[in-house]
Amino acid sequence: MRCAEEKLANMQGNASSHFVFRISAVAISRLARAAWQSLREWSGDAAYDRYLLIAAARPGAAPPLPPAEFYVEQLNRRYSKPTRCC
Amino acid sequence: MKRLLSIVLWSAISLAGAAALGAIALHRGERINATWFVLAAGCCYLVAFRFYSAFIAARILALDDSRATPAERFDDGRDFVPTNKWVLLGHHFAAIAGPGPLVGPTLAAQFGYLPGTLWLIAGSVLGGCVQDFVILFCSIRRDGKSLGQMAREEVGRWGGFLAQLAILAIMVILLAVIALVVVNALKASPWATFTLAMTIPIALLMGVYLRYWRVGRVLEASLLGFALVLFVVVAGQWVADSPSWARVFTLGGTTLAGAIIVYGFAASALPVWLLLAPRDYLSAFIKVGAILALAGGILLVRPDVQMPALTRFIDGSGPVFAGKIFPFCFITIACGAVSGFHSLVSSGTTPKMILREGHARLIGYGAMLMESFVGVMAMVAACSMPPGVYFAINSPAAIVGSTAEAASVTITSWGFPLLPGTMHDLARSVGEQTLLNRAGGAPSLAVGMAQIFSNTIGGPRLMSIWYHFAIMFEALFILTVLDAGTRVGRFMIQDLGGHFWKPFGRTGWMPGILLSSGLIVGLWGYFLYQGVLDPLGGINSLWPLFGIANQLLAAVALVVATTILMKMGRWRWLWVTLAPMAVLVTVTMTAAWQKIFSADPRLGFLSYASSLAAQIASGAIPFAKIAQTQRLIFNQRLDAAVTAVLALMILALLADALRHWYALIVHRREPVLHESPYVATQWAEGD
Repeated sequence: MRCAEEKLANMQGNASSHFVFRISAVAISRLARAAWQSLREWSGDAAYDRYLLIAAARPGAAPPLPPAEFYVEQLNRRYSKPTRCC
Repeated sequence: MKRLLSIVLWSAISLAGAAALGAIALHRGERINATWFVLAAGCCYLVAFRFYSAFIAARILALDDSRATPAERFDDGRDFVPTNKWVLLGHHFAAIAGPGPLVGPTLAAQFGYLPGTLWLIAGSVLGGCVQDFVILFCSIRRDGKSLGQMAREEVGRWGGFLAQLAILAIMVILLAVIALVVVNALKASPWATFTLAMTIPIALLMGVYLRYWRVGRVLEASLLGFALVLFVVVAGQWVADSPSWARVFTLGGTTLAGAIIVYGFAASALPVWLLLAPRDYLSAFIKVGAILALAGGILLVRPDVQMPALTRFIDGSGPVFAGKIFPFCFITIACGAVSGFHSLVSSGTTPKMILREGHARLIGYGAMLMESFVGVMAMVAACSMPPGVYFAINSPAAIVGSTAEAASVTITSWGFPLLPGTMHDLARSVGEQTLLNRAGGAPSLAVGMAQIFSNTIGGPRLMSIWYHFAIMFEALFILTVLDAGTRVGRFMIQDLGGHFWKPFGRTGWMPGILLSSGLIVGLWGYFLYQGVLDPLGGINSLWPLFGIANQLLAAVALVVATTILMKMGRWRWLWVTLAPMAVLVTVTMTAAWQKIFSADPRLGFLSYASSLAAQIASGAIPFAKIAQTQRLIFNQRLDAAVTAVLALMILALLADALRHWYALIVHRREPVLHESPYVATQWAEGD
C-alpha cells in the first residue's frame, strides 16, 4: 500500500503537499470502509456474507442455506434467549 | 520518558476526577453545572478501566490471548461468530442498555442528585462492571455456557434451580413494570399514543421488506423505518390537533394496559421476523443514536442542575416512591450501577462472539461503564428541570392532587416553588393536555431531554417535537424489551412444561405456543393491571420489586463468580466479587424486609393492606368502591408474598453457597473447575 501511495505521489511530481493529500485521502477512505464494514457487522447486515464464507471454508459440509432461510433461522435462534436487557 | 508521561497523564485524570467528585459532593446552596457530573463520571470511569479492570484481568482472571475462544473453536457463522472487539462492544452495549438506566436514576432523583450519582459511579466501577466482566470470562472459559448452567455445574443443583427461578421472576416483574412506565407515558396523550401505535405497522412493513424483498438488508430497512418513525412523530401533532382523531387515540390507563397485553401476546406468538426482529433493529438504532445525541446535547448545552444535592425525602417520605436512601436508592438504581440481568447477556450471545480472551476487559467492564454513563446523563436530565416540575410530573394524584392548583400548593409546601400556571405552560409547550401525575420516569426524562435538545437545535419551537421524539424513543425500546422478554419467558415456560408433558416443550407446536404465550403474558399482565389501578401510582410497589428481583439475580451471578474464583485458588482476591455480593445481599434483604413489614402504609405492603381493611371496617370506603379496595388489599398481600419468595430464594442460595464454600475451605471437596481444556489459538497476533 505504501508503494502505491509513493507512486501516486511521484505521479504528482513529488510535490509534498500532494503526497500529504493523497495519504490523507487513502487514510480517510480506509477509515470510512472500516466504519461501514463495522456498521454492517453490528447491524447484522453482513451476517449472511459471513455465513457463506464459513460454509465455503468447509468443503464436504451440507450446502449452505439460501438467504431467506438463513435469515429466519438466525432470528429464531437469536430471539429464543435473552438478547435485550433492562 | 513514555512512563513519565503516562504517570503525569493518569495523575491529572485522577486529580480532575477527585476535584469534580468533590465539587458535586460538597457543593451546597447554589446551582451546579452538569459539566461537573460528566467530568466526575468520565474521569472515574477512565481510572477504573485503566487500573481496576487491568488488575482484575491480569492478577485475578489471568486472561490469556494465546487460548482459543469458543468463537474460534466452534466458528459456524451462526451462534459462534468471531467478531471485531469494537463491533462486539457495540453489540453488547446495545443488548445491556435498556430502559433501566434511564428510568431508575430519574426516579431516584427525588433524594437529590448526590446519592444516585455517587451510587451510579461507585456501584458500576466496583460492582456492576466486575460482575459483567467476570461472568463473561467464566462463560468464555466454558464454551459460552449460560449463567444457569454454570451455577448448576460450579455451585450445585440448588444454585442452578434458583438461577432459573430468579430469571423467570425478574422477567415477569420487569415486563410488568416497564409496561407500566409506557402506560403512564401514553395516558391521555393522543400524540404519543398515535406515534407509538404507528411503530407497529412500520415494523411489520420492515419485517416483510427484510423477509421477502431485500432479504437480511438490515441497514436499508432500518433507514426506511427511521424515516417513517420521524414522519409519524411529526404527524402525531396533526392527530392531536384533530378533535375526531385525538378522541380515538386518547386512551385511559386500563385501556392502554389491555392494548399492551394484547401486543405482547401477538409479538410472542407471531413469527419473529414479522414484528419482533424489525422492531428490535429499529429500536437499537434509535437507542444508540438518541443516547449519543443526549451526551452531545449535555456537553453542548451544559445545563445547570436545579435539584439540590439532598432533598428532604431522604427521610423516606418521598412522593415518587416511599423509603429511605438506604436501601431504596440502591434498589431503585439497579441498571446503571449493578444489574443482574446483564449476567444473562454476558453468559449468552457475547461469549460466543469474542475473538480473544483479552477483549473481555473492554467488552465486559467497558460496556457497563458506558451504561453507567447513560444513567448519569439521565440523572442530569432529570435534575436540570426545576424540582417543583420534577415532583409534579412524578408524584401520584393521591399525594399531590390531580389539579395544577392542588399540586402547586402541596409541592410548594415541600419547599419546591411551583406556580399553578407552570405545569400548564409546560404541558402546552410539549403539546400535551397535562403532565401531572405521570409517575414512571419516562415523561420527566423526556421533558429533560426535550429541554436539552431544543436548546441545541430548534429552540422552543421544536420543544414539542423533541418531547414526543424522546417519548417515542423510550417507549419504542421499552416495548422491544417487552416483546423480546415475553418471547424468552414463553420459551422458559415451554421448557419447564416440557418436563411434565412432552408436546408442550416443542417450540413449533401451535397450541403450546399459544398456551405458553398466554401464561407469560397473563403473569406480567396481572401485575401491570394492578399497577395501573394502584392509587399510589403502581411504580411505588412495582419498581422496588423489580429492583429486588434484579439484585437477586446479581447476587446469584456474584455467588457463581466467587465460587469459581475460589476454585481457581484466588483466595487473596475474593473480595473483588465477595464485597459487592455482600452489599447486594444486605441491600436486598433490608429492602425486602421493609417492603413487607414496615408499619408505614406507603412503604409496607402488609400495613397498607391492613390500613385499607381498617378503612372498610370503619365504613370510610363508599360501598361502590369496596370491591375495588378488596382487590387492592389482595394485590398488596400478593406483592408481599412475591417479595418474601424472592428474599427466601436469596437466603436459600446463600446457604447452599456457604455450605459449598465451607467444603472448599476445609478441603472436604476438591476444587473441580468445569473449564474447557486449553486449546492454543491458530490465529496470528493481529487477527
